[in-house]
Amino acid sequence: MDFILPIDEEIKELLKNNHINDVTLYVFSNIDFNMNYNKVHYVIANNSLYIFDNFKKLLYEFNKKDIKEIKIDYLLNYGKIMLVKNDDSVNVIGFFEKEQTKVFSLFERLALKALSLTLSEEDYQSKEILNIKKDEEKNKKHINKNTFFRLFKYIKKYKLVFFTIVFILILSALLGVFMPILTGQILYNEILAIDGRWYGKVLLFISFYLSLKIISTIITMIYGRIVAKVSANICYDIKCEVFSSMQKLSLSFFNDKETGNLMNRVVWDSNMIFYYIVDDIPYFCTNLLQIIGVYIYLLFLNPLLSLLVFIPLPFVVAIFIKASPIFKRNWHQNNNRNSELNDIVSDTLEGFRVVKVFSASKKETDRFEDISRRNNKVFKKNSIFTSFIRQNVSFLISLSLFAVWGYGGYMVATSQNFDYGDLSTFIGGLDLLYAPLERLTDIIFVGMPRVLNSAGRIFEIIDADIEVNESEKPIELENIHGDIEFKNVSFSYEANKEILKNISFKVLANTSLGIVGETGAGKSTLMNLLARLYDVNDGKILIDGVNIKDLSFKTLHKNVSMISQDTYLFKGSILENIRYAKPDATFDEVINAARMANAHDFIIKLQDGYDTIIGQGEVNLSGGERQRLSIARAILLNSKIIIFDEATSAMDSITEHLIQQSIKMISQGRTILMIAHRLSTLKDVDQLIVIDNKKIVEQGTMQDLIKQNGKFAKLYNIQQEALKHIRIGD
Amino acid sequence: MDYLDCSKLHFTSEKDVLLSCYYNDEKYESVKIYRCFPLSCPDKYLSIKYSFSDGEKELGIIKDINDLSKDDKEYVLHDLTMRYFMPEIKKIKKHTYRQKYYTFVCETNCGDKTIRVKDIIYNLFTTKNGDLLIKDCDESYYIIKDYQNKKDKNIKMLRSFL
Repeated sequence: MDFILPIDEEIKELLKNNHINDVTLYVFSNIDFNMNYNKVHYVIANNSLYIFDNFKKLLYEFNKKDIKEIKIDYLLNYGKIMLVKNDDSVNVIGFFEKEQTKVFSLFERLALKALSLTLSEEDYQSKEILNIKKDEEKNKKHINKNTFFRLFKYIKKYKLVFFTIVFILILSALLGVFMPILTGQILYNEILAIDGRWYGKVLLFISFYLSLKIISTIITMIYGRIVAKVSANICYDIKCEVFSSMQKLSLSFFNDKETGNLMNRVVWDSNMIFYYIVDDIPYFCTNLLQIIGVYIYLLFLNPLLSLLVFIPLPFVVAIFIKASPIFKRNWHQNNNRNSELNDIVSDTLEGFRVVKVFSASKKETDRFEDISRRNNKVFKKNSIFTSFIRQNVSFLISLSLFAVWGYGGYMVATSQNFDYGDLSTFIGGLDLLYAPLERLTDIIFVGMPRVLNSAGRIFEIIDADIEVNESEKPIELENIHGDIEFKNVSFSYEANKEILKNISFKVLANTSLGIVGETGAGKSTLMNLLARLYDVNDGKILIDGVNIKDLSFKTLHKNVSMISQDTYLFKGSILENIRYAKPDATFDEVINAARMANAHDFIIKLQDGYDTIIGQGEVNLSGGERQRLSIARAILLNSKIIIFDEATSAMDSITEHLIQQSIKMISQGRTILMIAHRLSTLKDVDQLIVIDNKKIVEQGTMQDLIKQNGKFAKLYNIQQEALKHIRIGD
Repeated sequence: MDYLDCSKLHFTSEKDVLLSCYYNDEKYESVKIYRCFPLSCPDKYLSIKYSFSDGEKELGIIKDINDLSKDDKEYVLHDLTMRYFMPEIKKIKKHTYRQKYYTFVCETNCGDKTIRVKDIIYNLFTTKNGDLLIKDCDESYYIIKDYQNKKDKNIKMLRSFL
């Protein structure tokens, strides 16, 4: 059985030749002991670890009896695999690249189990294994999601309208083609020529010409109206799809993305796609048809002259093909610089208070100017290059015009069955040919790289894997009790940086648990896992005996709410913010929730009461007031489990007391989990756990832990000592 | 700020695997050395960490590697070279660009390697020594030494992103 990585035929053959069977674990590294890119294979079988080089030579063999531990040391670019023997001597048994961190992190964890044949079904099904298998399949599969053709899905919904637009453009193009014939051949050969069919009928000609112009104008107006309507709809569709895709993504997606970058995608990149779809694609279709139509006509008019038309074409195409990668690169840079600019604006505005406090306005202005300058430089470079290419192409195209004038003039002068009217028509036709040709090459070689860049950024969001998924058959629990159990839970945000290891504890329904530990111990991570903002790597979290991974999102989010130190209130009224938890809540329910959160008093003191608009740029509330609104929101949700993540850490004592009162009131009949640095906040909890170095080191009531004289007692005593030294009214 | 007194600091190594040190005659096992400023100041401000039961603890900071004795400096440099080892790109044979990923087929001092870089302008860094560092999608670094004087046209192309 393949485990962790698939074993290819060559390795199977190698193992067979070496009489190694019953493989319990297999991985390979891409680098050898000399840090060169050569594979090294690690096989655990028959209670031994075998290490082979890329030439199938057995380098090392270690028996389980001699092995105490396998450890990994993470270097800048690599991991170093070390084997610790029973006598505590250490051997370096290999290296691996960063891209293989997940694989070797798992190897480190499971190697000893594999050696003693104690791997369980849960090990085989662990999240890490499944993620590795997913990565392997992704690498194998040829993902052929052609970005350009995916854009057409936005047109599909409006295909009738699009066909109408294209039809109108074709009509317009046909009219455009007919005009030079009218003002050329027909005017000179039929109206002004004595032997013409409509000789002297100038008035008729003008009336006809005017009618065509009016029809053309009406067609353009209808076109404009249809395009305006459908373009707004397409823009709406794209932006909504991107935004709603973002809403479904897991928290981990946003960890390494700047706000400005993401905003750019919703607004700027969506606009790029929209302009391409409503502007460039219809013009592409009609321009192509126009070029073909006009050329066929010119071919009939004079085959020899029409050949001259195409002289510059190969050179034009060659120029664009050469320039295309440069266009792509320039647009990529352009987008990145724009994002950088947005990021700095967003960053500075969010941290404006810090800027002011540190008198850093000049520094921030200089930073902005520096990035703007770079943005400018890229934009200028892009524009200059694009203009340079266009000018060259125009010039090349104009050369053929001279050739046509020259040879055409010669044909007219030597009366080779080709008169001035024919030449005038031909020249008029050329205008109808070159303008769309230039536009077409522009759409393909300039517009397309630009839109593909933007489309790629948008599809990155739409295609992003959702890490926390609802079960295929989610369980709905109507009335939960609120029993919580963490069973052997391990978690890391990144493969080699474990935050929690084998955490187990229970919280009975309607009781409260306090969680204590140093900064970075993993307290908030525990709560993030309970709220399923992330999924555990190992172990389970149960609510009423049901794994939270099996619960529906609706049940989970209805029954678990979180109040953290950083309260986020959306721009809207206080009423809307409280109602965010339950949009159909009545006024009574809202007031009741606000009362229980000790928020009602300050709300009614505001001029507009519950209708007061809050959020950025509106009425400012203090930290304590915002916190109480957040508690009111949680109360309205009426969740059975409430998590307080340092909810009072930034409050003064009076506010903290008010919030503590609210917490006490709402704790009745609920399961409460509380994280706090200030241990006084936890004085009323039923039990406490202390987290240190990824594990629970102490557990019990406050009195028990103080008596134990361990880590908690130490923290408690330090805080008590600090309080003793506070003098009041000196 | 107090730095480690290099005259009282001595390093030893067991089979080139584990580094230990003595400071004020006290032995510290499984010592690791980290650069506080790996890009801007690689040979100064080196943090010395040692293992203990609950994890790692910092012993102190060496202000300048040149304050160490010759032997100690060798041990430290060896550990730093190992820890901060980066393949050196000798030549970029080919590059392609698709959506926002650049793929470079490179010849390095460790063999041929294909590197994928996302959003390239955010993943190129220059050092005071005139080298260029490239960070790939897996956050691995690669170095191009003295990039300004390289004649390779693909390396020259990278300069436009700086």
